[in-house]
Amino acid sequence: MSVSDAALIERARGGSKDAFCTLAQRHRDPLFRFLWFRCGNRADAEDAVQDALLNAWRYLDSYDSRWQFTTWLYRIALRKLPDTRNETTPIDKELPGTDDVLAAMERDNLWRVARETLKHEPLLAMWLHYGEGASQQEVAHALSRSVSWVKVNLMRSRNQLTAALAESTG
Amino acid sequence: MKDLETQLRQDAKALHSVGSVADMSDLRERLPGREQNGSTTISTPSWLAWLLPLTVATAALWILVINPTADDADFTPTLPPVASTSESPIAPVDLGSIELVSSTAPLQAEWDALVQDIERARALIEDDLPVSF
Repeated sequence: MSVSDAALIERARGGSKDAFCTLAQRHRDPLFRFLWFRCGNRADAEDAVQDALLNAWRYLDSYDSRWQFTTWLYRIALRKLPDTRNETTPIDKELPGTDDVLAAMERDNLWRVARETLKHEPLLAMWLHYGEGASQQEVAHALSRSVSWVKVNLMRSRNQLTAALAESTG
Repeated sequence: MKDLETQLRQDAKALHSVGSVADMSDLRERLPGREQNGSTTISTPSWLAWLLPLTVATAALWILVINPTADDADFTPTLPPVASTSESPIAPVDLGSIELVSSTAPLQAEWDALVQDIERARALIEDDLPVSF
């Protein structure tokens, strides 16, 4: 039986590095995928994961248990990332990673189209909601936006994506 | 629209299978000392970590090796020998040799005047005394 996040956080707050590492192992992949979208390449995303986890350990006492631990990690990660993109710049069209299998799989992946079509923050919102199953409230919390902003941008992003798909097939 | 949402979720699952962090084995070693309440706190400086043991070790060395009184079995404090009264280096004071210095001369004049007044008053009283009570 696996230990709950809350129990691990409690132990980690008491200074247990083992508990925190278990917690980090559990949540690193969702965090990595999120940062993968954010950074556009695998190496930067992995570095950002490490930085986010180190900061999570450092500021663990400020974690609010009303939110999922992963959501809190997203906030930390975004806050610490250098803002190298602005809102109007689309995400890089390069595939993250150079693996041929991954490239072939991504070629037909809808998220590839989303990455090429959507602006930076709406793409992150879309990924958190559809990719990681976060609620609209959690997306809003992770991105430091209002729930209304999330709702509006999810709808706009879906419309943009539908239009892009229609254009590419038509 | 529903199909698009379903497709987004399905394609995300495909990315989940490949989107994983390669190696996190060094995370435990990279975790710094804890800071409390999310605020920056003062962690024990590295120099303080060895300063305290060094201080204790120095004090112990002083007590056990350098301090000569540590060899005294009864730990009786060593005091200088007390000279006997007859051999006291302090000469007895010759009261007759004390002379008033100039700064006390006005006091002496006042004292003499006071003595004279008292003598004069006593003489007057004696003159006025009745022969018998």
